[in-house]
Amino acid sequence: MNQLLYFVLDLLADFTRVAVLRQFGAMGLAFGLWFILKSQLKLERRRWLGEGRWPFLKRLKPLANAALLWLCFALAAAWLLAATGVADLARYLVRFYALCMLSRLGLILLLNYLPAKVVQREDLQLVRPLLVVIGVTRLYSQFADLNELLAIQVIALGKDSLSLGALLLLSLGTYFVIVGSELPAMGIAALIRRVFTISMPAYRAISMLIRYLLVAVGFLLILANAGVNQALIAAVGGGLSVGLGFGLKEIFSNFISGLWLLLEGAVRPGDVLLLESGGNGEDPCEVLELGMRATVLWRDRDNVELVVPNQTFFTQSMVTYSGLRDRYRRGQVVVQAAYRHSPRIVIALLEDTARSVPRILAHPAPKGLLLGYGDSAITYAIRYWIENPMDGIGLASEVGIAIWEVFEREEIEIPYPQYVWHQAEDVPGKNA
Amino acid sequence: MICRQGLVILLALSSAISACGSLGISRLPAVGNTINVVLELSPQVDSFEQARLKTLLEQEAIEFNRLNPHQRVRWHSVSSERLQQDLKFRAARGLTPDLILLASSRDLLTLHQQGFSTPVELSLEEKRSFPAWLLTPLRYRGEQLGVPLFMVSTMACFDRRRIPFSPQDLSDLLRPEDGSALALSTSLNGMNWILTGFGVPLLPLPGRRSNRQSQVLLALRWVQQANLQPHITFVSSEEELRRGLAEGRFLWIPCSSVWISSLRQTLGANLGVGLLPAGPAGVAKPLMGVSTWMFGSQSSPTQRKLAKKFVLFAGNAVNQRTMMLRLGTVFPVNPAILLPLNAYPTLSVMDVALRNSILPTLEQHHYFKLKDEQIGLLANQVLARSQDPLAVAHDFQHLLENAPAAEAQP
Repeated sequence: MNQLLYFVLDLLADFTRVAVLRQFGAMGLAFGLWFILKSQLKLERRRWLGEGRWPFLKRLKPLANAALLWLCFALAAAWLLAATGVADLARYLVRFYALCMLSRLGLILLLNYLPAKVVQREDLQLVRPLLVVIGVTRLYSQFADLNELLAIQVIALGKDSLSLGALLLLSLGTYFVIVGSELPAMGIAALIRRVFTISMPAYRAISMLIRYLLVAVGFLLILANAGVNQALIAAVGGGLSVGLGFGLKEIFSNFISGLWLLLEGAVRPGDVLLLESGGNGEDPCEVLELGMRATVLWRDRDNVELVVPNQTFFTQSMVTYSGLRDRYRRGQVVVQAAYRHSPRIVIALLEDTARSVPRILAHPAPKGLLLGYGDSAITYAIRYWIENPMDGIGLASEVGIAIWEVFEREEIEIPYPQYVWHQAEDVPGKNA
Repeated sequence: MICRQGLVILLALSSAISACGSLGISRLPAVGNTINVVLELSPQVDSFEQARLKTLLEQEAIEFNRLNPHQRVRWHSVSSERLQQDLKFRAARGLTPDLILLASSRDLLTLHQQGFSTPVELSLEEKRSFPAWLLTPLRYRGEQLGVPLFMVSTMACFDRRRIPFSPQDLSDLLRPEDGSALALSTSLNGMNWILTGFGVPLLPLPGRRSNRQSQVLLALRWVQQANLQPHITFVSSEEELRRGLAEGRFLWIPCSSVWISSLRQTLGANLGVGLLPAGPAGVAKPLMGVSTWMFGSQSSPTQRKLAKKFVLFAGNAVNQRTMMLRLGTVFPVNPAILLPLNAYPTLSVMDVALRNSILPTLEQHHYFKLKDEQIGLLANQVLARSQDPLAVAHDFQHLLENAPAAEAQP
């Protein structure tokens, strides 16, 4: 660790050189100039020439100030080079900033193909950390030998030791493999989807499987490149086995369950499931993400995300609306009508009403049924099909309202419960 | 945008550090008091000796750090082929090393002219650690461009099992002994000691220009005759000489003192060391190798002071003696050291060889570096007999006449 401190001190010592100070000073001046120009020009707010004609220009607006800053840096570096011949640190900053700008541009272009949420996530989790790592390592290598720094032994395990490079590779490498595998996996899955015309849930499952595969391969490569001792891996593996027997059992069980679910296709992202909701009946939930440990479900009723351990899907039965057959859900509204109305007329009215409600499928056609003769009324049911299982409750309400309006218009009575009381005439002992 | 924020932080951080440096906060322990030292690894020094040299210098740096806890010396080594490229890379960023230990003073002027070095001023007191005859050749236009660290001599190395004694005379070299295999080099240094044996001054002294075409002709005829001998091989690379002796292909070679350790590893006690054979005009005068400190041009004033302090530390009598005794293959530059010549026979041979050696000035080095290819070409013309030695002697003489004269002692 002392060695690491020395490396930092060595780096700081370089900042006392005039030629180095001059370069950072020039960059500081360029930054000041940019600040003045930015507040004067207001590039991001003003209307650009040709903005109406080429809508994509609007999308580039957030990059305007960044481009101006890059220009200021580039001019300062060019001036420094011409004046002193020593400007490679400044030029490095210019190049790095150009890389940052390019990454922003790439993300803007990516918005044309991917949902904004995904792009934002990639930006925060992948692009920015990656730029930080590139920036720091490249900056260090301007000053000193990066390989020498990475070769420092930071952890000693008996006869073996772990270098800083191996440690960074294990930690940062694993992080970037996990985070960075998402887009390639999505790309490959999208290609498979286009070629084999598979459904969206299947596409999501394939994407997830490919991602796991990439992570596994990436992790193996990281281990191989980090030069981790095989005996150490065996020891960790042994420890993990013991851990699996105790505390890690649940985690491992959930992980395997997740993999199994993906392979089997019983639960896939995009599926709609019915989940017991604690005495409030059953609520349909959409599967958002099948993670390594748990599955994230979205419940429409109260817009909450439920994190359900994967093994739950193994230990309890589930009702799914998006299984093997199709994703259609059949809904039903039960209604009563007075005895004086002809069942044929009531059934026809119910079927017409259901047909008139938007989002109720015409095929299979809504079907009215006479369910039974009650004490006060005849019980009917109108059954209909909807495309999105998540719309079940909302559509049932809409159908109910439509029936009420039609019954009122057509003067179909929904009777109150009627009871006819008869006074018995000759009850023995009544007048005794 | 995070990049912009990051850049602002970076700039603020660097400005803060810069401000600290200029305000003198860098005088705090270790901050700003680090010097970068680059060690040039010459291909003429084998990897075994390079490792020994690196270890020794690292120990010296550790010792320096121990005595000066607030100051730090940081070592890097770069091969000769990559030195210019490395310096160019660093100089373009304002990060030229504070000190460069050159394997010899040969490239010092070239590197200085490229803007990588800055002259150093030594007080009379500081100059006492170095003999004037060593400091003067490292001056250019009145400025001290380099400071010597140690000297390397050229001698004769041989396998005692087959050659009991090194040939004393150039004519002895032509007489084959049973199974002897000798090797000579066509490099500048290889040709130089042969020419000086015939009385040809390779490096003219100030005010003295001599036309000794007849001696040059004699030397070239000797070279041509030597090449006809089945037991003599001419090679173009010094490395080939060393490897040839170690592998038993050659039994006698002109060798650099820094090869002795690795040769001794291979040949053990059978390695013989002697003086180079004398010529008809006197002793052979090979070129002296001087490992030289060069001061970087972009150091901060604090770093420059520290670099000079370290150079003087490396030149003090104690360190010079330690270095000589540990390596055993180099000669100290500090005149205050009493050499244990009787205890170390090899050192004794080195001492005599160094007394016979000549040290070119920076300009002479620069001149011969430029003419290196031409000298090799002329030597090959003689060896291949494609040119009459007389014609080659004329060109050789012309080449020698145009060499810059040594600077007069101040």
